[in-house]
Amino acid sequence: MQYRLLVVFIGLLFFTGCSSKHYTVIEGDSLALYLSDQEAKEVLFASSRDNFQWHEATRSNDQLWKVVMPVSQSFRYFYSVDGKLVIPDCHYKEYDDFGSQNCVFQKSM
Amino acid sequence: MKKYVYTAVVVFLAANTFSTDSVLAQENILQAKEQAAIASQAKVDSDGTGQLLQLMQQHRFQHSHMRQIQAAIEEARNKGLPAKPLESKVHEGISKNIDGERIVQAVHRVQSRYENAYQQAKAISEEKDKVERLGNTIAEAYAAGLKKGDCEQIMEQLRERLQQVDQETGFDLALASMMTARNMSRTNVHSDTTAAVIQSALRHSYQVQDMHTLRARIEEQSHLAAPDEVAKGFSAEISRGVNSENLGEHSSIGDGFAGGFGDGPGDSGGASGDSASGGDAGGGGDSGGGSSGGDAGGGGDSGGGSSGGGGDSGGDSGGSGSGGSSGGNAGGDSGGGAGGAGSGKGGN
Repeated sequence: MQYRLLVVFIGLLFFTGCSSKHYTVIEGDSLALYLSDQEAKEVLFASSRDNFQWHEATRSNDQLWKVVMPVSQSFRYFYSVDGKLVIPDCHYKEYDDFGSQNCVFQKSM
Repeated sequence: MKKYVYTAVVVFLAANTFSTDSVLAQENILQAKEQAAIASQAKVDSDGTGQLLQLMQQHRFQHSHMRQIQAAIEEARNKGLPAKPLESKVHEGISKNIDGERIVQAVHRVQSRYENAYQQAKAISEEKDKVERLGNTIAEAYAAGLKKGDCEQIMEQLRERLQQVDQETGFDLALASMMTARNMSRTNVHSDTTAAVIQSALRHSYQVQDMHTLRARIEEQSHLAAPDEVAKGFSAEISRGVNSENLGEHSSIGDGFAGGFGDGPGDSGGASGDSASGGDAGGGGDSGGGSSGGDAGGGGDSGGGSSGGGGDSGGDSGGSGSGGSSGGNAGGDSGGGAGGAGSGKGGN
Protein backbone atom coordinates (compact mmCIF):
# COMPACT_ATOMS: atom_id res chain seq x y z
CA MET A 1 0.00 0.00 0.00
CA GLN A 2 2.74 2.40 1.03
CA TYR A 3 4.59 1.46 -2.12
CA ARG A 4 1.62 2.34 -4.34
CA LEU A 5 1.11 5.60 -2.54
CA LEU A 6 4.74 6.43 -3.07
CA VAL A 7 4.56 5.73 -6.78
CA VAL A 8 1.44 7.90 -7.12
CA PHE A 9 3.13 10.64 -5.14
CA ILE A 10 6.27 10.54 -7.27
CA GLY A 11 4.11 10.52 -10.40
CA LEU A 12 2.20 13.59 -9.26
CA LEU A 13 5.42 15.31 -8.40
CA PHE A 14 6.85 14.88 -11.83
CA PHE A 15 3.69 15.75 -13.70
CA THR A 16 3.83 19.12 -12.02
CA GLY A 17 7.23 19.62 -13.63
CA CYS A 18 8.64 21.82 -10.92
CA SER A 19 12.36 22.22 -11.61
CA SER A 20 15.16 21.69 -14.14
CA LYS A 21 15.42 17.97 -14.52
CA HIS A 22 18.88 16.68 -14.65
CA TYR A 23 20.74 13.43 -14.39
CA THR A 24 24.04 11.79 -15.18
CA VAL A 25 24.87 8.57 -16.93
CA ILE A 26 28.22 6.82 -17.04
CA GLU A 27 28.77 5.23 -20.44
CA GLY A 28 32.04 3.34 -20.40
CA ASP A 29 34.78 5.88 -19.77
CA SER A 30 32.47 8.78 -20.49
CA LEU A 31 30.11 10.68 -18.31
CA ALA A 32 27.01 12.10 -19.94
CA LEU A 33 25.10 14.86 -18.21
CA TYR A 34 21.54 15.53 -19.32
CA LEU A 35 19.51 18.63 -18.70
CA SER A 36 15.87 18.77 -19.62
CA ASP A 37 14.69 22.11 -21.00
CA GLN A 38 12.38 22.15 -23.95
CA GLU A 39 12.27 25.92 -24.25
CA ALA A 40 16.01 26.56 -24.19
CA LYS A 41 17.73 27.87 -27.29
CA GLU A 42 21.29 27.61 -26.00
CA VAL A 43 22.66 25.56 -23.13
CA LEU A 44 26.24 25.94 -21.93
CA PHE A 45 28.04 23.88 -19.32
CA ALA A 46 31.01 24.78 -17.10
CA SER A 47 32.86 22.68 -14.55
CA SER A 48 35.86 22.75 -12.26
CA ARG A 49 37.50 20.09 -14.43
CA ASP A 50 38.80 22.71 -16.83
CA ASN A 51 38.64 25.94 -14.87
CA PHE A 52 35.01 26.57 -15.70
CA GLN A 53 35.41 27.03 -19.43
CA TRP A 54 32.02 27.17 -21.13
CA HIS A 55 31.10 24.25 -23.40
CA GLU A 56 28.07 24.04 -25.63
CA ALA A 57 25.61 21.29 -24.79
CA THR A 58 24.09 19.46 -27.72
CA ARG A 59 20.42 18.72 -28.17
CA SER A 60 19.84 15.04 -27.51
CA ASN A 61 16.16 15.23 -28.41
CA ASP A 62 13.33 17.76 -28.24
CA GLN A 63 13.72 18.26 -24.57
CA LEU A 64 17.11 16.96 -23.47
CA TRP A 65 20.49 18.69 -23.68
CA LYS A 66 23.59 16.57 -23.36
CA VAL A 67 27.22 17.14 -22.38
CA VAL A 68 29.77 14.34 -22.54
CA MET A 69 33.11 14.29 -20.73
CA PRO A 70 35.59 11.75 -19.40
CA VAL A 71 34.58 10.27 -16.06
CA SER A 72 36.43 11.69 -13.10
CA GLN A 73 36.19 11.33 -9.37
CA SER A 74 34.54 14.56 -8.45
CA PHE A 75 33.92 18.03 -9.87
CA ARG A 76 31.66 21.05 -9.48
CA TYR A 77 29.49 22.35 -12.29
CA PHE A 78 26.65 24.55 -13.45
CA TYR A 79 24.84 25.52 -16.62
CA SER A 80 23.95 28.64 -18.50
CA VAL A 81 20.57 28.44 -20.22
CA ASP A 82 19.98 31.26 -22.69
CA GLY A 83 22.44 33.41 -20.79
CA LYS A 84 21.11 32.70 -17.31
CA LEU A 85 23.02 30.66 -14.75
CA VAL A 86 21.16 27.48 -13.89
CA ILE A 87 21.88 25.10 -11.02
CA PRO A 88 19.71 22.09 -11.74
CA ASP A 89 18.11 19.87 -9.17
CA CYS A 90 21.10 17.63 -8.56
CA HIS A 91 21.66 15.24 -5.69
CA TYR A 92 24.91 16.74 -4.39
CA LYS A 93 25.33 20.48 -4.01
CA GLU A 94 27.64 22.92 -2.31
CA TYR A 95 27.62 26.66 -1.72
CA ASP A 96 29.55 28.70 -4.26
CA ASP A 97 30.64 31.66 -2.09
CA PHE A 98 28.81 34.00 -4.45
CA GLY A 99 25.38 33.57 -2.87
CA SER A 100 24.35 30.58 -4.97
CA GLN A 101 25.29 26.91 -5.26
CA ASN A 102 27.04 24.47 -7.56
CA CYS A 103 26.16 20.93 -8.42
CA VAL A 104 28.79 18.40 -7.40
CA PHE A 105 29.40 15.23 -9.35
CA GLN A 106 30.78 12.49 -7.16
CA LYS A 107 31.66 9.10 -8.50
CA SER A 108 30.50 5.97 -6.77
CA MET A 109 32.28 5.04 -3.60
CA MET B 1 51.27 96.03 -14.94
CA LYS B 2 49.09 93.99 -17.26
CA LYS B 3 52.22 92.36 -18.55
CA TYR B 4 53.21 91.21 -15.06
CA VAL B 5 49.74 89.82 -14.32
CA TYR B 6 49.70 87.97 -17.64
CA THR B 7 53.13 86.48 -16.98
CA ALA B 8 52.08 85.39 -13.47
CA VAL B 9 48.96 83.66 -14.82
CA VAL B 10 50.96 81.86 -17.49
CA VAL B 11 53.58 80.73 -14.97
CA PHE B 12 50.87 79.54 -12.56
CA LEU B 13 49.04 77.59 -15.27
CA ALA B 14 52.22 76.03 -16.53
CA ALA B 15 53.25 74.95 -13.05
CA ASN B 16 49.82 73.53 -12.38
CA THR B 17 49.76 71.62 -15.64
CA PHE B 18 53.20 70.29 -14.99
CA SER B 19 52.16 69.16 -11.53
CA THR B 20 49.04 67.33 -12.83
CA ASP B 21 51.04 65.79 -15.64
CA SER B 22 53.61 64.72 -13.15
CA VAL B 23 51.04 62.95 -10.96
CA LEU B 24 49.50 61.26 -13.98
CA ALA B 25 52.89 60.24 -15.23
CA GLN B 26 53.75 58.75 -11.85
CA GLU B 27 50.50 56.76 -11.84
CA ASN B 28 51.20 55.52 -15.33
CA ILE B 29 54.69 54.48 -14.35
CA LEU B 30 53.35 52.60 -11.33
CA GLN B 31 50.75 50.83 -13.44
CA ALA B 32 53.30 50.00 -16.09
CA LYS B 33 55.62 48.60 -13.41
CA GLU B 34 52.81 46.46 -12.01
CA GLN B 35 51.87 45.22 -15.44
CA ALA B 36 55.50 44.45 -16.21
CA ALA B 37 55.78 42.55 -12.93
CA ILE B 38 52.61 40.61 -13.73
CA ALA B 39 53.76 39.89 -17.26
CA SER B 40 57.14 38.79 -15.98
CA GLN B 41 55.54 36.56 -13.38
CA ALA B 42 53.29 35.12 -16.06
CA LYS B 43 56.39 34.08 -17.97
CA VAL B 44 58.22 32.63 -15.04
CA ASP B 45 55.41 30.93 -13.21
CA SER B 46 54.92 27.32 -13.90
CA ASP B 47 52.18 26.88 -11.34
CA GLY B 48 49.43 28.69 -13.18
CA THR B 49 49.41 31.87 -11.11
CA GLY B 50 50.79 33.88 -14.00
CA GLN B 51 48.10 32.61 -16.31
CA LEU B 52 45.52 33.48 -13.70
CA LEU B 53 46.87 37.00 -13.47
CA GLN B 54 46.77 37.36 -17.23
CA LEU B 55 43.19 36.15 -17.20
CA MET B 56 42.29 38.69 -14.53
CA GLN B 57 43.92 41.39 -16.63
CA GLN B 58 41.91 40.31 -19.64
CA HIS B 59 38.77 40.61 -17.58
CA ARG B 60 39.79 44.09 -16.45
CA PHE B 61 40.17 43.34 -12.78
CA GLN B 62 41.22 46.34 -10.71
CA HIS B 63 44.87 46.20 -9.74
CA SER B 64 43.99 46.23 -6.06
CA HIS B 65 41.81 43.15 -6.54
CA MET B 66 44.53 41.35 -8.46
CA ARG B 67 47.02 42.17 -5.72
CA GLN B 68 44.66 40.89 -3.01
CA ILE B 69 44.03 37.63 -4.85
CA GLN B 70 47.73 37.16 -5.53
CA ALA B 71 48.51 37.85 -1.87
CA ALA B 72 45.88 35.34 -0.71
CA ILE B 73 47.32 32.66 -2.99
CA GLU B 74 50.87 33.35 -1.81
CA GLU B 75 49.78 33.32 1.80
CA ALA B 76 47.99 30.00 1.30
CA ARG B 77 51.15 28.50 -0.19
CA ASN B 78 53.28 29.83 2.63
CA LYS B 79 50.95 28.25 5.17
CA GLY B 80 51.05 24.90 3.41
CA LEU B 81 47.49 25.21 2.14
CA PRO B 82 46.50 24.28 -1.40
CA ALA B 83 46.37 27.21 -3.83
CA LYS B 84 44.24 25.43 -6.38
CA PRO B 85 40.87 25.91 -4.64
CA LEU B 86 41.56 29.65 -4.48
CA GLU B 87 42.55 29.81 -8.14
CA SER B 88 39.56 27.71 -9.05
CA LYS B 89 37.27 30.15 -7.23
CA VAL B 90 38.64 33.00 -9.35
CA HIS B 91 37.97 31.02 -12.55
CA GLU B 92 34.49 30.18 -11.31
CA GLY B 93 33.78 33.81 -10.49
CA ILE B 94 34.94 34.93 -13.92
CA SER B 95 32.74 32.33 -15.63
CA LYS B 96 29.78 33.45 -13.55
CA ASN B 97 30.54 37.06 -14.45
CA ILE B 98 30.98 38.06 -10.80
CA ASP B 99 32.65 41.40 -10.11
CA GLY B 100 36.21 41.56 -8.84
CA GLU B 101 35.37 42.72 -5.34
CA ARG B 102 33.07 39.74 -4.71
CA ILE B 103 35.61 37.36 -6.18
CA VAL B 104 38.20 38.68 -3.73
CA GLN B 105 35.78 38.11 -0.85
CA ALA B 106 35.03 34.59 -2.08
CA VAL B 107 38.75 33.79 -2.36
CA HIS B 108 39.24 34.92 1.23
CA ARG B 109 36.36 32.71 2.35
CA VAL B 110 37.90 29.71 0.61
CA GLN B 111 41.27 30.48 2.18
CA SER B 112 39.73 30.72 5.63
CA ARG B 113 37.86 27.43 5.11
CA TYR B 114 41.01 25.57 4.15
CA GLU B 115 43.00 27.15 6.95
CA ASN B 116 40.51 25.96 9.52
CA ALA B 117 40.10 22.55 7.86
CA TYR B 118 43.86 21.91 7.78
CA GLN B 119 44.13 22.95 11.42
CA GLN B 120 41.51 20.37 12.32
CA ALA B 121 43.27 17.76 10.21
CA LYS B 122 46.63 18.44 11.88
CA ALA B 123 45.07 17.51 15.19
CA ILE B 124 44.53 14.01 13.77
CA SER B 125 47.75 13.44 11.87
CA GLU B 126 51.09 15.12 11.31
CA GLU B 127 51.81 13.43 8.00
CA LYS B 128 51.56 15.87 5.13
CA ASP B 129 49.57 13.72 2.71
CA LYS B 130 47.14 12.67 5.42
CA VAL B 131 46.65 16.26 6.52
CA GLU B 132 45.93 17.13 2.87
CA ARG B 133 43.42 14.33 2.36
CA LEU B 134 41.57 14.95 5.59
CA GLY B 135 41.89 18.74 5.35
CA ASN B 136 40.49 18.80 1.81
CA THR B 137 37.57 16.60 2.84
CA ILE B 138 36.77 18.84 5.81
CA ALA B 139 37.01 21.95 3.62
CA GLU B 140 34.61 20.34 1.13
CA ALA B 141 32.23 19.58 3.99
CA TYR B 142 32.39 23.24 5.04
CA ALA B 143 31.64 24.34 1.49
CA ALA B 144 28.62 22.06 1.51
CA GLY B 145 27.26 23.63 4.69
CA LEU B 146 28.86 21.88 7.67
CA LYS B 147 29.41 24.50 10.37
CA LYS B 148 32.76 24.84 12.08
CA GLY B 149 31.29 24.32 15.54
CA ASP B 150 29.64 21.09 14.42
CA CYS B 151 32.85 19.91 12.80
CA GLU B 152 34.75 20.63 16.01
CA GLN B 153 32.29 18.48 17.94
CA ILE B 154 32.86 15.60 15.53
CA MET B 155 36.62 16.04 15.82
CA GLU B 156 36.41 16.05 19.59
CA GLN B 157 34.54 12.75 19.48
CA LEU B 158 37.10 11.43 17.02
CA ARG B 159 39.99 12.35 19.27
CA GLU B 160 38.39 10.35 22.07
CA ARG B 161 38.07 7.33 19.79
CA LEU B 162 41.60 7.77 18.54
CA GLN B 163 42.92 7.06 22.01
CA GLN B 164 41.55 3.54 21.70
CA VAL B 165 42.94 2.64 18.27
CA ASP B 166 46.27 2.73 16.44
CA GLN B 167 47.24 5.79 14.40
CA GLU B 168 46.53 4.29 10.99
CA THR B 169 43.06 3.08 11.95
CA GLY B 170 42.40 6.38 13.67
CA PHE B 171 43.18 8.31 10.54
CA ASP B 172 41.04 6.02 8.38
CA LEU B 173 38.16 6.44 10.81
CA ALA B 174 38.55 10.21 10.79
CA LEU B 175 38.61 10.30 6.99
CA ALA B 176 35.60 7.99 6.67
CA SER B 177 33.71 10.09 9.24
CA MET B 178 34.43 13.34 7.45
CA MET B 179 33.59 11.87 4.04
CA THR B 180 30.24 10.84 5.49
CA ALA B 181 29.76 14.31 6.98
CA ARG B 182 30.68 15.91 3.64
CA ASN B 183 28.27 13.76 1.65
CA MET B 184 25.48 14.36 4.12
CA SER B 185 26.07 18.09 3.90
CA ARG B 186 26.10 17.91 0.12
CA THR B 187 22.65 16.31 0.18
CA ASN B 188 21.42 19.19 2.31
CA VAL B 189 21.31 17.45 5.68
CA HIS B 190 21.43 20.17 8.34
CA SER B 191 24.80 20.72 9.94
CA ASP B 192 23.69 19.86 13.46
CA THR B 193 21.96 16.69 12.26
CA THR B 194 25.12 15.65 10.43
CA ALA B 195 27.18 16.18 13.59
CA ALA B 196 24.65 14.25 15.67
CA VAL B 197 24.73 11.24 13.33
CA ILE B 198 28.52 11.04 13.16
CA GLN B 199 28.97 11.61 16.88
CA SER B 200 26.40 8.96 17.65
CA ALA B 201 28.16 6.50 15.32
CA LEU B 202 31.52 7.21 16.94
CA ARG B 203 30.08 6.86 20.44
CA HIS B 204 28.64 3.49 19.47
CA SER B 205 31.99 2.21 18.31
CA TYR B 206 31.33 2.30 14.59
CA GLN B 207 34.45 1.19 12.73
CA VAL B 208 35.81 2.44 9.41
CA GLN B 209 33.71 -0.02 7.41
CA ASP B 210 30.61 0.85 9.44
CA MET B 211 31.14 4.49 8.58
CA HIS B 212 31.30 3.62 4.86
CA THR B 213 28.14 1.54 5.22
CA LEU B 214 26.42 4.37 7.06
CA ARG B 215 27.34 6.71 4.22
CA ALA B 216 25.99 4.27 1.63
CA ARG B 217 22.75 3.75 3.58
CA ILE B 218 22.11 7.46 3.92
CA GLU B 219 22.93 7.81 0.25
CA GLU B 220 20.39 5.15 -0.71
CA GLN B 221 17.58 6.48 1.37
CA SER B 222 18.14 10.16 0.76
CA HIS B 223 16.96 9.61 -2.82
CA LEU B 224 13.65 8.46 -1.46
CA ALA B 225 12.92 10.76 1.44
CA ALA B 226 14.06 14.11 2.82
CA PRO B 227 17.77 13.58 3.61
CA ASP B 228 17.54 15.41 6.93
CA GLU B 229 14.71 13.14 8.07
CA VAL B 230 16.61 10.07 6.93
CA ALA B 231 19.65 11.24 8.89
CA LYS B 232 17.62 11.94 12.03
CA GLY B 233 16.09 8.49 11.78
CA PHE B 234 19.54 6.94 11.49
CA SER B 235 20.82 8.95 14.42
CA ALA B 236 18.00 7.56 16.57
CA GLU B 237 18.66 4.03 15.34
CA ILE B 238 22.38 4.24 16.04
CA SER B 239 21.59 5.49 19.55
CA ARG B 240 19.40 2.42 20.03
CA GLY B 241 22.36 0.26 19.10
CA VAL B 242 21.39 -0.69 15.55
CA ASN B 243 24.44 -1.77 13.61
CA SER B 244 25.38 -0.20 10.30
CA GLU B 245 24.16 -3.11 8.18
CA ASN B 246 20.65 -2.88 9.60
CA LEU B 247 20.22 0.87 9.44
CA GLY B 248 16.95 1.92 7.86
CA GLU B 249 15.41 -1.52 8.00
CA HIS B 250 13.19 -0.91 10.98
CA SER B 251 12.32 2.70 10.58
CA SER B 252 9.16 3.89 8.89
CA ILE B 253 11.32 5.17 6.06
CA GLY B 254 12.99 1.85 5.74
CA ASP B 255 9.74 -0.09 5.77
CA GLY B 256 8.25 2.07 3.17
CA PHE B 257 11.09 1.97 0.74
CA ALA B 258 13.45 -0.82 1.32
CA GLY B 259 10.94 -3.53 0.60
CA GLY B 260 9.54 -2.20 -2.60
CA PHE B 261 12.74 -1.19 -4.20
CA GLY B 262 14.73 -4.20 -3.43
CA ASP B 263 16.69 -6.15 -5.87
CA GLY B 264 15.43 -5.16 -9.21
CA PRO B 265 17.37 -4.55 -12.28
CA GLY B 266 18.56 -1.25 -11.01
CA ASP B 267 22.14 -2.28 -11.28
CA SER B 268 22.65 0.02 -14.12
CA GLY B 269 21.59 2.85 -11.93
CA GLY B 270 24.32 2.10 -9.53
CA ALA B 271 26.89 1.62 -12.14
CA SER B 272 26.28 4.76 -13.95
CA GLY B 273 25.12 7.21 -11.40
CA ASP B 274 27.02 9.39 -9.09
CA SER B 275 26.73 7.33 -6.07
CA ALA B 276 27.55 3.91 -4.95
CA SER B 277 24.24 2.80 -3.86
CA GLY B 278 22.20 2.61 -6.96
CA GLY B 279 22.64 -1.02 -7.61
CA ASP B 280 20.85 -3.28 -5.33
CA ALA B 281 18.38 -0.77 -4.18
CA GLY B 282 17.32 0.20 -7.61
CA GLY B 283 14.94 -1.07 -10.13
CA GLY B 284 11.96 -2.97 -9.06
CA GLY B 285 9.57 -1.92 -11.75
CA ASP B 286 8.66 -4.37 -14.39
CA SER B 287 10.25 -2.38 -17.04
CA GLY B 288 12.53 -0.24 -14.98
CA GLY B 289 16.21 -0.22 -14.73
CA GLY B 290 17.07 -1.36 -18.17
CA SER B 291 20.69 -2.10 -18.38
CA SER B 292 21.24 -0.29 -21.58
CA GLY B 293 19.75 3.03 -20.78
CA GLY B 294 21.41 4.61 -23.68
CA ASP B 295 20.44 8.14 -24.24
CA ALA B 296 17.59 8.01 -22.00
CA GLY B 297 18.53 7.99 -18.45
CA GLY B 298 15.58 8.83 -16.42
CA GLY B 299 12.79 7.27 -18.22
CA GLY B 300 11.06 7.95 -21.43
CA ASP B 301 8.14 10.09 -22.28
CA SER B 302 6.32 6.97 -22.98
CA GLY B 303 8.46 5.19 -20.56
CA GLY B 304 7.03 1.81 -19.90
CA GLY B 305 6.98 0.50 -16.47
CA SER B 306 3.97 -1.18 -15.07
CA SER B 307 3.65 1.18 -12.27
CA GLY B 308 4.69 4.35 -14.04
CA GLY B 309 5.59 7.54 -12.40
CA GLY B 310 8.96 6.71 -11.05
CA GLY B 311 10.80 7.44 -14.19
CA ASP B 312 11.72 10.91 -13.44
CA SER B 313 13.07 10.08 -10.13
CA GLY B 314 15.63 8.28 -12.10
CA GLY B 315 15.91 11.20 -14.39
CA ASP B 316 16.49 13.59 -11.65
CA SER B 317 19.07 11.64 -9.97
CA GLY B 318 20.91 9.49 -12.23
CA GLY B 319 18.55 7.77 -14.51
CA SER B 320 21.01 5.64 -16.27
CA GLY B 321 18.62 4.13 -18.58
CA SER B 322 16.10 3.31 -16.03
CA GLY B 323 13.43 4.34 -18.39
CA GLY B 324 13.29 0.68 -18.98
CA SER B 325 12.91 -1.23 -22.13
CA SER B 326 10.05 0.77 -23.40
CA GLY B 327 11.14 4.07 -21.99
CA GLY B 328 14.08 3.76 -24.24
CA ASN B 329 15.41 6.88 -25.64
CA ALA B 330 13.49 9.63 -24.21
CA GLY B 331 13.91 10.45 -20.63
CA GLY B 332 10.64 11.93 -19.75
CA ASP B 333 8.30 12.66 -17.01
CA SER B 334 6.20 9.66 -16.64
CA GLY B 335 8.23 6.74 -17.67
CA GLY B 336 10.03 4.06 -16.00
CA GLY B 337 7.85 3.08 -13.17
CA ALA B 338 9.53 1.95 -10.07
CA GLY B 339 12.62 1.30 -12.03
CA GLY B 340 13.11 5.00 -12.28
CA ALA B 341 13.15 5.34 -8.58
CA GLY B 342 15.70 2.64 -8.39
CA SER B 343 18.08 4.25 -10.71
CA GLY B 344 17.58 7.49 -8.95
CA LYS B 345 19.72 6.12 -6.25
CA GLY B 346 22.50 5.72 -8.60
CA GLY B 347 22.70 9.12 -9.96
CA ASN B 348 23.41 12.64 -9.28
